Amino acid sequence: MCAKRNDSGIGRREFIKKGAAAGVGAATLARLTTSDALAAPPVLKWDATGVDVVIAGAGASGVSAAIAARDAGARVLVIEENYKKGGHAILSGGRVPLGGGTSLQKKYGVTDSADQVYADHTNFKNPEFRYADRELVRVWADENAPTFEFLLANGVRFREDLPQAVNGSDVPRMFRAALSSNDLKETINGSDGSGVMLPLIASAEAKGVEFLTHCKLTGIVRERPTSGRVLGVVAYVQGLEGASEVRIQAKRGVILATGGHTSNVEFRRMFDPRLTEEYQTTGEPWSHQNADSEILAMAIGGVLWATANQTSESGVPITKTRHIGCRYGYQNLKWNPQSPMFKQAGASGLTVRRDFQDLIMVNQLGQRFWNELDDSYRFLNACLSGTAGAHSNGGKLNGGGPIWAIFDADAVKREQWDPTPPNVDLNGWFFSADTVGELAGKIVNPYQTSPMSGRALEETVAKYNSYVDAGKDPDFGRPMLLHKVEKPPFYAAWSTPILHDTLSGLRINSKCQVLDLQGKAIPGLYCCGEAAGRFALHGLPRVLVFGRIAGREAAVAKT
Amino acid sequence: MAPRHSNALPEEAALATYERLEHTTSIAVWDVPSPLVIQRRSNVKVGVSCSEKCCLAGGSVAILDETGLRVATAHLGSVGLAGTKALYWAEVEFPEVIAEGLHNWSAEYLPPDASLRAVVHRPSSFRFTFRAVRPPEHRVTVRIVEEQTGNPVDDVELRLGAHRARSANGIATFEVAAGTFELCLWKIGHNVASISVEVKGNLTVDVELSKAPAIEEPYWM
Repeated sequence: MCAKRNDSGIGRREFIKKGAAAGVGAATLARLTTSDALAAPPVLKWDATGVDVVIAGAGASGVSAAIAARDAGARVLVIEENYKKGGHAILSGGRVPLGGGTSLQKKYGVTDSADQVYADHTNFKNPEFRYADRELVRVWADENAPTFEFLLANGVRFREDLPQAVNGSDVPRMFRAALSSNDLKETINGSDGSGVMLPLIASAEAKGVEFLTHCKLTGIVRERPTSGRVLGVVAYVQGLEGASEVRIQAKRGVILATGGHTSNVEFRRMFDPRLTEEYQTTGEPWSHQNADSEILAMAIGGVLWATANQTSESGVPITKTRHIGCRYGYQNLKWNPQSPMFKQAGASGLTVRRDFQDLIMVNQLGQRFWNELDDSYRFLNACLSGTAGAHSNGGKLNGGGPIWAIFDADAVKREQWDPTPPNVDLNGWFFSADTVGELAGKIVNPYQTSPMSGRALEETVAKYNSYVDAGKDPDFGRPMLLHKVEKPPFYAAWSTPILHDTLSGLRINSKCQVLDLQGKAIPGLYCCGEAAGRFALHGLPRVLVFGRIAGREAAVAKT
Repeated sequence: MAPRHSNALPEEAALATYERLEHTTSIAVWDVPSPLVIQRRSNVKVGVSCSEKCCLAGGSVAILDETGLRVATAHLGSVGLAGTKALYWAEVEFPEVIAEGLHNWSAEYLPPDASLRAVVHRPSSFRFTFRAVRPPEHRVTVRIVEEQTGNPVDDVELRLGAHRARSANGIATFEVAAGTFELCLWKIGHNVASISVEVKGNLTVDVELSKAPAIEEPYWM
């Protein structure tokens, strides 16, 4: 934990002391919301001065921004609400599809150009790119190769594998980072994304970037409520004696890099009202995408942009759960029991290996609702339909409610599952029983708004089994009906879709300046990462490129 | 005037009524032969579980056909099914089925006479289905090789009409009556294959199973 004194006066002890003197309560950072300080008034007294660029968020975009700003000569402070740096990206697959003629592409004989990158990412036939703002795609394409070289220069190493072509392009661009540590305390869950983040963090620290963890952004200070320059931020620092408010001046700029909005139920429902509270989010419980950047910037005049990206039914903003029987079952993030976050994650989940052939899925009423083998948006839309909710919780119409995978002992054998902890979470996410009717009665979960009827589930299973006998599923057209659900014991495993990408966010320009409703830049305010909108590209390439641009631009901004 | 209490139930009876507990029960039916060959006797397993996990050993279960006619009965065994908390079960001999086609039967639990018991188990039932087919006349052998390599493919799951099988050493066999059936093959990572097969005598069907094209991994996080 950082406690040293430095030129900017941003030692943790000073923060906490000042905050405590201000009488701030002991709320945990996790409970804080940005509404606590939405309209942060201009302050004349700062708790910390001397910082050129304050960056909120120590994920892929924030750390890239920090290095770029530091490289440009700025004094940089990164605040991070988590206890450790790395953000969402440290749990990622470490896949970096940046092209345009990188040195690694050349090594493998791949010919590419920025123009080709641009053409590939503006193809209207790909709905993921259909709604992208071309101005941003252009600068992103131009900065592909320089950003890849930036990663190499800052210690990121890639696997010596042939690059893959992705995103509908024929040009191989995707390289995968090499895992840089086997220590789960460092990597959190052993994901290859740590091969990007740990070297970048080390490089940033070596270059003199200062980090303050346990520090949550709660306000942006602007000269006037919706006009003038952004002067700094308000944040809460978590100490042993509680959370303390601090005000940090940013002489050149504030960079918002707190991630997207998928963990914020009310915010995400602005885009899709179906996304009620039962939907868990990739990266949780490690990182939470609370829409802090978006909410705080909107409070001082920032606006969202290209919001169609979030609901274009392309890409992976919503995903089918692949690890069932646990709360967090995103398919490329299986929690390791040795992870320091495992206690919060609860279980690893049972990984579905056989294309969902071995189970049926039911809503909270115990009814099948779609062909379980489908993993398209048709399946997801069926999951999110209001059918279940309409009959419960006082007629709540939004959200599809919990989705449960129902299977039997034979399925366990075929899938080679061990349906016991730590693979399953018995605290509301996985149930077993001797009969189907009994199973329904056991299902108790925070999002199960009414008990599942044993008779209803029995009828569903009996009907499905009759379809297996008949070889046809007249309800949902499931092909290849191979196995009945009949052999005791029976199981119910949480299989509710998981939210993933934030594809819409703050309107920024090609310098990553946050824009207002008139399209004018808010002086001193920048945004990058998943909090920034306009371009619906999944994963690391978007956040790394715009992080680097934001840092570079903020560092040279006029004061 | 008679004392008021003279019209009340005897104290003992009232107590018994008051203290009587009702437990629900539920049923599982498994190892249902499907397809089942007509005019042959078969077995099915029926298990019953009490909501409070009482021992139900010795209790009666019955099988009812679609008309509601009780066609078989059995007594639950004394040991719960392995892997369950307390599922008492019995193997019930299945009577001969006469008609081809999909049958919709049920199993029911018949609790013992509850009049003198403190705990009453409520009866329960469970619907199950099976398909009945004519006796097999011919053997259909399916030989499965991988299209690209010609190597035999194991663990392919197949359906031939109502019949199901799994390949070993690249071969799956079916015993079926004459007729025309849809043969479907499924194995993860391969394209689903489906062909129509007319069975008039013993038959060998050769199938080349092709690998499904590698799909661009859309999930990078």
